[in-house]
Amino acid sequence: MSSAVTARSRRARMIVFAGTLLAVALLIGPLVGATNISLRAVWANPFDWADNPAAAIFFMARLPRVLLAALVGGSLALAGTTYQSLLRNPLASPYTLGVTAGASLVTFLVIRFVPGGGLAEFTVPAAALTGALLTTTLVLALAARAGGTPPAVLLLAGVTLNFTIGAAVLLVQYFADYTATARMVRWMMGDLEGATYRLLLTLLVASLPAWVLLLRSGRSFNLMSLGLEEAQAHGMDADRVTRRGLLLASWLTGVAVAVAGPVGFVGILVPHAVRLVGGVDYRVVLPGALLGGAGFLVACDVLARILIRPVELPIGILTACLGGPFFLFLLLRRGFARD
Amino acid sequence: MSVDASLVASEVTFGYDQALLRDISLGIRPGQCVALIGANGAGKTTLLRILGGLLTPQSGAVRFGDRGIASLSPAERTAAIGYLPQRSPRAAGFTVHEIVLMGLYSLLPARGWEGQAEWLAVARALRRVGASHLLRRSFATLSGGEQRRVLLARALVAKPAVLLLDEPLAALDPGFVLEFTATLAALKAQGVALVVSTHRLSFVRALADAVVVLQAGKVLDHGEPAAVLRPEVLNDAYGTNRFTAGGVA
Repeated sequence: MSSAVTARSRRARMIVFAGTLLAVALLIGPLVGATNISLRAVWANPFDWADNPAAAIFFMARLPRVLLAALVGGSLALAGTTYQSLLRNPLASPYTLGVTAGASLVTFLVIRFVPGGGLAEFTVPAAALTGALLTTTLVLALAARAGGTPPAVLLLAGVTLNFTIGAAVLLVQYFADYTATARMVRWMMGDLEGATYRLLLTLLVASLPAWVLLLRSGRSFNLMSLGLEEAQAHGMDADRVTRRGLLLASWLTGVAVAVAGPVGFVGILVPHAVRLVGGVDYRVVLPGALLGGAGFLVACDVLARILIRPVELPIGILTACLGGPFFLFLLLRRGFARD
Repeated sequence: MSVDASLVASEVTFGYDQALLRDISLGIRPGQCVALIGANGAGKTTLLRILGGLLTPQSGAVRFGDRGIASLSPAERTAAIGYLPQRSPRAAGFTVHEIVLMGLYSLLPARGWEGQAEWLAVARALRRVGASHLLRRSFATLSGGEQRRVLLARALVAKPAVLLLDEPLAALDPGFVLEFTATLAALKAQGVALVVSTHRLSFVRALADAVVVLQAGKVLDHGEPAAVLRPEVLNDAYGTNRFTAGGVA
């Protein structure tokens, strides 16, 4: 068959491949942890949670957590792919434009100054989402004032805000008491505990429209990879595509960070891995990143639960541990510099 | 699309802090080749970008047929204008096939996929610029001249009525300059209008029907090549006194 047809079949193969990995991760994820349980024990009496602790663990504790990992991982990887395309920078991540810094600052202010802020179910997520969106809006406004949406302007605005807000974050931490500081540090490590089906439904409703819109942006992102001039020469409104893409990616990042804290490296590691397998066509990479990111974070969560059980590692530490060696691999891979 | 496939710029002025182009008027008919020449910074690239709708003039207008260039849909624009930028994009990881195929994106249905017709169009465009053997190569690993060929194929692939070529001969070896000139002559003969920014005066003499000499954003001279490419005009345009009646001193 022609290579024009294989672009479509590559996408189908990527969806099957990444979808299978995700399905396996989703199947294994709820069964392992401090105490392993068997699927047979769960399904022996699945809805009598009082008499069947395996079913209670499966449905009440682990399944929501695994699904949360999938939603957060998918969103972060999709957002990372979007940033890398629109900023034309392979090292761009969901946090490059200061989204995490903004989320951290508002969250820390809430933990520090709002009574019981760190304990309330919705206060911290709301604060993180507010901070993330405020930062994105500020970056886009700064970039618009400084010359529009060329990647260099956006990156400079993002890096500047990252440093500035980072200083404010340190200041808030410095003036916080030990309890609040410990809570802030713990939040920075990422956390998938506390997942409920209601939270999952809220997260899904909040994320799904952005997923759909970004998954439909493959052609635009391909053209943007050639540069603003090339994209405009094809009649594309490059500014509009950039603003829309960054807002959607930042929304996904903000929502993910709001419920799980700033889990690092998923947004860089997964898109690169998908490109290694399926090439750089964004019509293939975007669905691959969504499914691959979901599967990757579920797998990381499983490892975080079993590596030093019965103690659980914060998920952010594990993804960071995997991220460093992966970049070393990319650096040493033949042809990396050439490509 | 209008039957009248002329591209016309009327009294176009553009600038940022200071004017880069002032009151430029230009018309290109089907099958005509207009060469833009002038010193570096004279405004050639800016004019091409305005003609292609990449920049919006502060005053004046650009029309394709009876339509303003800004009012064309992406599909109409792709059918109307092919654009070869001065600089090659980095495009890391994309194959030559994928790069050329992007020239057809706006002609595909909203969420449709390319099929055999598009694949054949890509192969035809690459063959036309002598780059069929590069089809599976990674674009980023090509030489500068090979990248120019591929980008020209991308500009050609949708068979546009007008081709805007910004320094198309940069980085090309002499053999391919001759082949490239022959390719453009064949396109001209098929009715494609060409606007070419270049520093190669031999290319202008061989192919252009009209020359526009730009100097500091204004038209210094224009007309047929034989009438315009005189030593006094060229010395003035390029800020030298080395052009003589016998060639270059």
